[in-house]
Amino acid sequence: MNTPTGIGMIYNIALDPYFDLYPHTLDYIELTPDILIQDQGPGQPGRFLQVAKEWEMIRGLAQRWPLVAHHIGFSLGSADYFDKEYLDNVLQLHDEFGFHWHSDHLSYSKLIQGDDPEYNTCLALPVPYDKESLDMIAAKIRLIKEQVGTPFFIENNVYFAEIPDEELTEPEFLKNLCQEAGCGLLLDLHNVYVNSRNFNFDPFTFVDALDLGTVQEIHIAGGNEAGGMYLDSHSGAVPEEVWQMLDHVLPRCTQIRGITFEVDESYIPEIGFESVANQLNKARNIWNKHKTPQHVA
Amino acid sequence: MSLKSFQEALAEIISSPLIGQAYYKDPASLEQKYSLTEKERNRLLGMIQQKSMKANYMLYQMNRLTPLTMLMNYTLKIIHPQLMPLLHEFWKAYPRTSFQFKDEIGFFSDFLKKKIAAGQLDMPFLEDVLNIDDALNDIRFDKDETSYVNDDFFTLHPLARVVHLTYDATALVEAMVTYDAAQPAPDVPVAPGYYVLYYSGRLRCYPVDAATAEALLERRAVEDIPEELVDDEILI
Ligand SMILES: [Fe+2]
Ligand SMILES: [Fe+2]
Repeated sequence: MNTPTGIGMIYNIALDPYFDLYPHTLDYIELTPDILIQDQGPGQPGRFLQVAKEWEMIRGLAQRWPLVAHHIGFSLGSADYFDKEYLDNVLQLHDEFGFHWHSDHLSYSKLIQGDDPEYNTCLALPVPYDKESLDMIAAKIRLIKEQVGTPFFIENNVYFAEIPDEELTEPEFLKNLCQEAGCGLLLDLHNVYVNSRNFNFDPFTFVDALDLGTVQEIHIAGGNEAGGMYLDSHSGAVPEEVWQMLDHVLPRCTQIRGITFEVDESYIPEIGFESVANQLNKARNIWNKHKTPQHVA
Repeated sequence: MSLKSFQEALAEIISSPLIGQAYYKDPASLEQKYSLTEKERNRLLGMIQQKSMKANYMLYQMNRLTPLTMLMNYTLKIIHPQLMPLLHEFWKAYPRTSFQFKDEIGFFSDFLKKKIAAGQLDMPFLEDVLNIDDALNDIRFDKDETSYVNDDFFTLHPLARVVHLTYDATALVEAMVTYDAAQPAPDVPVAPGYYVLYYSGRLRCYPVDAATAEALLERRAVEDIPEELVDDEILI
């Protein structure tokens, strides 16, 4: 299959019937393999188990759509940490599914302290936008890219605390990281929107400061308010302001391959498949408005 | 080493507002526990003061609670009146969790069992319900499905487990469907003994005598084959 360009969605179990109901709304499917894998822990024989029966479903989907991989387990931001076994498992999955690209997040979620086995921070935490983290993450991405042999994208993070006194701004950090690591930016517009609401900045000024030429994929999603904060809960409909941001950045994202809608499985029964299709169609309209001949696969 | 230490400290801080506050009041304790540069120390102390940190605390708690609500349904219904204090105590006793739900529910089950054994937790049906949740999770996470396999003619179905309960298993499971800790405890017959639980989306319970249960648990041949278990293809 050709490299997908167009509109995609992140797979979750609750979407299973969707693919037969609205197949024309999708050009590719983004898979987070971690959600369908049981990790027995570092050093365990047969560590990564494909226990979920959904793998059969995934194999079926792989016959119908190009797949791309969106990982959550490299924990690229963790200092003094690289999980070679995790990479080996990604390579094995890559052999089977031929993902057109891979991505992970600009954050950390796994740590090793003392003699304890690897533990989970329970949420993705921010890394300081300093040269030290930049070099560390860039080296990991180069290694992954070299092994996997496909493009790799890094996703901008949501954060709920600002790290004081950083050497670089977030746009500077992202630009330098893409350059140093030779990777693309997965620009999550909803993440920018969430941060802009919680930390009171203009999201349009923020995206204008990015090097949009590095953007190869865009995430869109919905969120909700809780306890006076706005959360990236992936709860359904994309906020109007995020649609406007998409329309605003897309003409300058000359390397873009896809726009991916993210919705959490727990919200699917509530919002329904039709509303999912509506979001994807809305994204397609904006895509069609701005796409150039190079974007047609 | 320093950035790693900063990350460990931040991970600890977001797990509870009390931890951050304690470090803020006594920065020396933060420096003692973690090897931080001056800049990293100041960063953490600055972050602790930010209003937005409450979203970190909230998300940490929500994410840590998720596996329990998904996989320890009966137990959570029973402990509901004391849920938050118990959770805070659990998180304090087990400050680190793994990436796998299976580990987290194992930690929580151990935590509750220790409290029950120490006489610190006495709630109706709790011990039985915890045994049932453990058995169900053991079935859910059984990767090679060989828990009871022996070389003899009859083997227990991979989706079945043997447990020892105080109350009648079927009546208890039925009572749990509508159980509400705020209402008077339902009438469930006391029937101490062994039960075989079979779970494939729906749970079925079979009382078995001690000799049969022990044979199954020790993977020995069952002398007196219980017909019902054979008919229902639980002994295969
Ligand atoms: Fe993501
Ligand atoms: Fe995203």
